[in-house]
Amino acid sequence: MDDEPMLLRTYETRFASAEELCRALTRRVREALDGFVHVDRISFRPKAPASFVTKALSTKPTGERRYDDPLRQIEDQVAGRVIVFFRDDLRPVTERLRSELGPIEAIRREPVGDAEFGYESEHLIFVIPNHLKPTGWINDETTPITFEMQVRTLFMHAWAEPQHDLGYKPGVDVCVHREQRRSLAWLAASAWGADRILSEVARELGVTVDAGASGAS
Amino acid sequence: MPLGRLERAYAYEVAPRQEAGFVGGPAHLSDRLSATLDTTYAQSGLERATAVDFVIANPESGSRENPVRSALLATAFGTAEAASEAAVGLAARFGWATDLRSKPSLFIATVHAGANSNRKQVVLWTFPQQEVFRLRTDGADATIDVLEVFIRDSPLRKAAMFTGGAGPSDFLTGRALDAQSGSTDRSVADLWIVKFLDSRLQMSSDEGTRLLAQSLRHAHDKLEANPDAQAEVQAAIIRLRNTKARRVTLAQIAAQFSRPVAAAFRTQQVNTEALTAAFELNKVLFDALVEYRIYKLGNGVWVSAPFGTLGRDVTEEQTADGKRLIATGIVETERVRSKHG
Repeated sequence: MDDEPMLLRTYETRFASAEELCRALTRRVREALDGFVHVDRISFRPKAPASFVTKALSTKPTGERRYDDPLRQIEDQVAGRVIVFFRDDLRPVTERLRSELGPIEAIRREPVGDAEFGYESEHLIFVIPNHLKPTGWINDETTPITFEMQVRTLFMHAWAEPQHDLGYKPGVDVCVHREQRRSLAWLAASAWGADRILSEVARELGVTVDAGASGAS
Repeated sequence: MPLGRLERAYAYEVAPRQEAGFVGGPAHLSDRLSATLDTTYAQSGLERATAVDFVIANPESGSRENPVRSALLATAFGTAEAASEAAVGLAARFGWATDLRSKPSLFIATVHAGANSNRKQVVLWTFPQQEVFRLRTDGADATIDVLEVFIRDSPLRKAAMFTGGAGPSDFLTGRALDAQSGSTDRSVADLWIVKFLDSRLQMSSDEGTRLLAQSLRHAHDKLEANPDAQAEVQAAIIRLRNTKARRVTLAQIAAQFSRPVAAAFRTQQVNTEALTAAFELNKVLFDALVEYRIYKLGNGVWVSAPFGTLGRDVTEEQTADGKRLIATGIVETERVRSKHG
């Protein structure tokens, strides 16, 4: 693990630039979503140094390092999130981000099985526009050229966000008792159900799907 | 960033709509070619040209596929055979992108060493064919030949540069140079960046238009004590509202200003890249943001109302005869013209 101090040091050196970039991207996404009234929040964060190092040194099942150039390859060093009220808002918000920023990846993450409930989110990866990069970022060839974005509803977020504090990792059972597992499964299914019902009620009450202001033609 | 050592070069003559049978192939790597390419690159400004991103048609797949990106990666990192095949493919794509109004061009793809052994630079060039004269003399006799040659410093040349390794995060973005991308004819404006490179400008239309409006407004407010400087900003707004150019850059607009106006105009941009980033001007949004109105009244009076004066110093009132305009303020300058206009 000789790499660890070097990686940490290098990453910490770029951290201030990453924070500056986060502010520029927040402004950019806020402008892009101008007029969307069902957006609860738009936020960006630089990856915490300890979390970066853990990811940088992570290995594949074969034992090989996942990243041979982690300072450049890890794409969530700068990541953002948009939280919307209703499920029906996911599509227009995502579409606006896609048309404004042009994604290189746009993947919906959700449980695979029909009877499974759990993490759900729209994951997007975009190229960081040069004109938003702070000087420290633009002059450093080892910085990543992409950033990640997630778009979720309030209920998707309510289920997903506390997972870190619960020590949850995909495929790893952190529960000690069966009852804990059942409680978490109930929570996941309830969040999914509440999300659906909230959107259905909003639709029945005639709440218009968020379309945002169109500055464009 | 200067060009690295020349490692591969491919050159083809490409006629409009040509799809196969290209004259050309891998080029001999000579010191002279290398030096000429270095000079052409240095003079072109490609290093600071507009940033473009490849369009990923199916981002849901996660494979980050783009036909030009794939060809560039093969040209840079593939075997000699794969690189050659990819270069011919790029030439064919350029032939497909051009229309019959164009003349044949010399299409060149070069691969250069990058900052380390895992990275490469790929540069694409097109040099249009033009007629030139050649004077030959034999004693007192002179002969003028007309030759068709490819012009190295033609204003119609186009270029693009992409840099990186062979990983999934590489060769997603680059720089493109095309003096015709601001053309009023969309097919001409889109030929290089949109049609051939299958790319998009990094600065979106709305983003660029907002930044432009903010920059103009900021300059106007900051120069409040200087009516001549404010008049420059107002004149720029009128020009922009009437421009037929499809794409603009903030640098082009700043270049028309005097030094203090240009300085005030530039302070709203994060970095110099924002100045050179081309974007499509959204005139509807621009008008809404600058709130600049020009009124012609029935009595021959003209009133121009810049930023923020509408509703404050310039107000509209509905009357039975139509809309009535009321403008109030202290006269700072006045001019007498012998002739209207």
